[in-house]
Amino acid sequence: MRRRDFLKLSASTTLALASLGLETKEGFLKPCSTLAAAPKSLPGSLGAKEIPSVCEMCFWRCPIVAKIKNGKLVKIEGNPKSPANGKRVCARGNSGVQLLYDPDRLKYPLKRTGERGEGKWAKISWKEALDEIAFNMDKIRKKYGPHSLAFFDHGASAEFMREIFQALGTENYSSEPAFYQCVGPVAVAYLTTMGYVVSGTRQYIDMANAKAMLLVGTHIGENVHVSHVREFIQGLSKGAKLVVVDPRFSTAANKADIYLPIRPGTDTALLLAWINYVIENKLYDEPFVPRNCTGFNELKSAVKKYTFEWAAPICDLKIEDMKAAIELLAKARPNTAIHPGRHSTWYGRGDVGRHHCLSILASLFGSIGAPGGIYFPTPIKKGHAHCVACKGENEVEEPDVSLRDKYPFIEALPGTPTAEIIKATISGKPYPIKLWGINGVNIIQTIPNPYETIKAIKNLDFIFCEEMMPGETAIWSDIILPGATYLERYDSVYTYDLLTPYVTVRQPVTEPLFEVKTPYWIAKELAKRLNLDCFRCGNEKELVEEELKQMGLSLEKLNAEGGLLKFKANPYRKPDELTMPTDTGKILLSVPDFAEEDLDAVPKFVATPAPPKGFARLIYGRSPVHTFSRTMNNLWLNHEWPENHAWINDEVAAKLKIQDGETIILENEHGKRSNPIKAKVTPGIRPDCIYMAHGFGCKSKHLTKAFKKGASDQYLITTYENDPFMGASSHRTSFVRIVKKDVVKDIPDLRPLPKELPRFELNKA
Amino acid sequence: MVGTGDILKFLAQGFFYPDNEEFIEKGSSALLGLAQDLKISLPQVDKIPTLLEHQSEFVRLFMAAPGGVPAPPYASYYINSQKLLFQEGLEQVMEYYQKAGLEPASKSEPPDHLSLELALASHMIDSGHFALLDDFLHNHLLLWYPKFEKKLFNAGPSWWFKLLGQVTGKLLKQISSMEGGSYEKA
Ligand code: SF4
Repeated sequence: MRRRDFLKLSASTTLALASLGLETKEGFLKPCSTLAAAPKSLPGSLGAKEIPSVCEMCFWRCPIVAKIKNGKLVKIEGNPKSPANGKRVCARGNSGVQLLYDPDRLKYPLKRTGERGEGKWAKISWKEALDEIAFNMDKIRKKYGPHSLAFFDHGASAEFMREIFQALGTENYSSEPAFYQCVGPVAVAYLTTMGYVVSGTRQYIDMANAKAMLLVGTHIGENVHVSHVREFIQGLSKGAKLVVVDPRFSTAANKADIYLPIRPGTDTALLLAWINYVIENKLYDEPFVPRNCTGFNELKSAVKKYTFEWAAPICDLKIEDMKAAIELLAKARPNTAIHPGRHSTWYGRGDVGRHHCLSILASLFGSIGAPGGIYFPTPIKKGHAHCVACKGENEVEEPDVSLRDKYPFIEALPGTPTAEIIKATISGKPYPIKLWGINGVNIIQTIPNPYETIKAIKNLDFIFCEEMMPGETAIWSDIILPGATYLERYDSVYTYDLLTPYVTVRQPVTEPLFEVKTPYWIAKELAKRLNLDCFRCGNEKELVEEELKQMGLSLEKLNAEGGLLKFKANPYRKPDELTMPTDTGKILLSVPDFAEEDLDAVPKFVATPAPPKGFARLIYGRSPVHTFSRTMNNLWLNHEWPENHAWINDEVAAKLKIQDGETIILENEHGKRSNPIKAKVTPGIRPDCIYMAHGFGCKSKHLTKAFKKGASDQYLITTYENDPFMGASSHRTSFVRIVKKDVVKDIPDLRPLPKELPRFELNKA
Repeated sequence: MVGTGDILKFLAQGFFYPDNEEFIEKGSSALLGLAQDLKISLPQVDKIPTLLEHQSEFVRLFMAAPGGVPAPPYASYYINSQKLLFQEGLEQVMEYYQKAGLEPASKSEPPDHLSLELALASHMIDSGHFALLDDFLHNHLLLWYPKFEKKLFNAGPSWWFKLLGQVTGKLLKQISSMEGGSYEKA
């Protein structure tokens, strides 16, 4: 018997096999040219090749070094050259290995074969995928006009695709949840009052050198960005005092000298009372304010009515505690870090005002440009790659009625509010939107009221996404383009303009795996099919080289320096030399432009509806080992923190007979119910709110490790209002009660509600 | 003359993403014939799948599906405690590629994809590298194929893929149970 033909085949089988022409088919294998077997090597990451790059497990972009052995990524560490994080990365930064090799990741272009959202796919070629997307973009644009195309974007991977949407003339070429669901209000507040975005992606706040710090609802330590956390810890270790205002005893509150467990929705009342107290008691910086600020008198008279006696019942705080806190902060001025906050889309109407108050407080303390206060970025002039911008159709012609019209302070900012795109997609008004492109963001787990988002998706003629993992949004797409992870691609040169400025570059640590492609390649191929002259560099490496060349650098030179070059920082200004980047060169305590648009020149307290009887306000935050809903399927991170918990006040739990660790369900004001979630019974939260970490409760069955783990806050946020300045959607305007073993349990009213705080009306829900 | 190497080539093709209707049609007859020859009980064949049906089923079983990919066709998934791709399973097979002087013709799949490993076994047979084949089957492919096959069956595959899995399993077992070179010389 011979192995070559040991199996006695019947004639019909032989015939059938022969008819397949297997011997003439192009083979799967070829003679070896490059593959090398793994040499027997040192254990772990010893002896590994090191490639400097930039992390993107979150948006903070810490410099990293990837350790490669036999072509395989074995470890990620911080880049020791980096003055910001050194050899440190956070848990997520470490776990990039698991993203790269996750068996659930998207590997090939897929086309929907079942109903939208059903999760049935055929694999298609890149040619077919891009041809079909280009065909639909062109067809829909011709039929309904350019604005019928909308793009939801996030992060470096979306930059090139955004150019295409812009070149096609839609005003909806960018709709960033990172802006409209997160930093929008704080960015507008500081841009208007101080002339630059003190808090957007990053915060220019010098906690490391502060003598006192104020955090209002900011969860440093749960919200982990390596250099930011380090600066916070440095400040504390040098003896800085800390005041934390938060309805929940957060990780940061745990370190506070004074912790104020404020009633949710009343932060502006506290801030206004503090501003009034600082003015009345002359705790402000007398030479700094008249020299560097405008609108002091308007401010003074507008805040007169906001006394501690007025604020105490509203905020549910003791007068002596409020007073002690502000005196502690004032004593440290000008080295007081009034943290500007970052995630600021809380209640809609009052959000810009709340951050305006924080900006006023920092200004009254003269801490702008002072060590320990708000500082100035040190811009590093970055080269511009001319090969990226699209030639020709670059002008976006505004439609007769724009989705941006309602928002007077959206002007300086790109893009369209997400909520407006969703509404227009459902209603067809003021114009139809028929195609969505999505890149780098799971909109269903990010934008309030996912039920509405899904309704809008069902109304579309076409939807495509570029993604790495098959999250909820990918599942609702018609075509999925598998994008390269940050470990498989170059991205534009990255400059860090905070206290320790540097320039570095993200570079691939491995070739793109499977059939995934880089965002530049995808955009370039799509642009070609749409006859757009956009991406003239051959590839992203050329683009990076072009940017570096204009800085007198090259990849070779930068890599010879360990992948990172440091610059000298220039963050501080003397008070008498301070010129703000505003029209007047001064800080605006009162903003006349706001008044012109019937908004408050000086912030006012406008009550956000309190929980209806039987409900608690739903509040949320971050898990230190996860980034939004992006990392729940990562094996290591999933092991660390597989599910979230519902924090319930211990007195409330006792009354409702809920034990710590017991599984419950939350039901919101519209009757929407969560996945089962375990209760965390604790005195560390007020009785009028329930907290959960954001991003859990995955509904995509394609994510094996994350599916159904914990509950989604997003699916419970179905009431929202839009900020009148720039259209961000509020996230803390929904309410929940508890369902245990199918019995609905009303939340008892344990804290008296003053008349100034009307309840949310359930019959209007 | 159709030899064992050709059968493995056919099976390798069967586990690769389908892109032509003719292969499904003709492959159905070949698969049923092979099953009969290997004494595998034949399934109820109501119809030959269309290309789109076959592609959707392929994606569901091996690429992307609600509930996760039911049967990832990569050695690393099985030969790695964390079920990660591109791990020890891949490192193992690289040694066999190197010894055979071969590499995958395309990079769209990692070298430890089942199709490529079957193609490698086919090459070893065709080129008479039986000692290497024995080593490859015993110390690599058969360490993970049975686990893969089990996962495939648990996913309730179409008759086509169920039979493909069974034929491949039985054939690999038979090849591996033969005693290498001596049989060849006989
Ligand atoms: S904070 Fe962590 S996840 Fe974010 S960039 Fe830095 S290392 Fe990466």
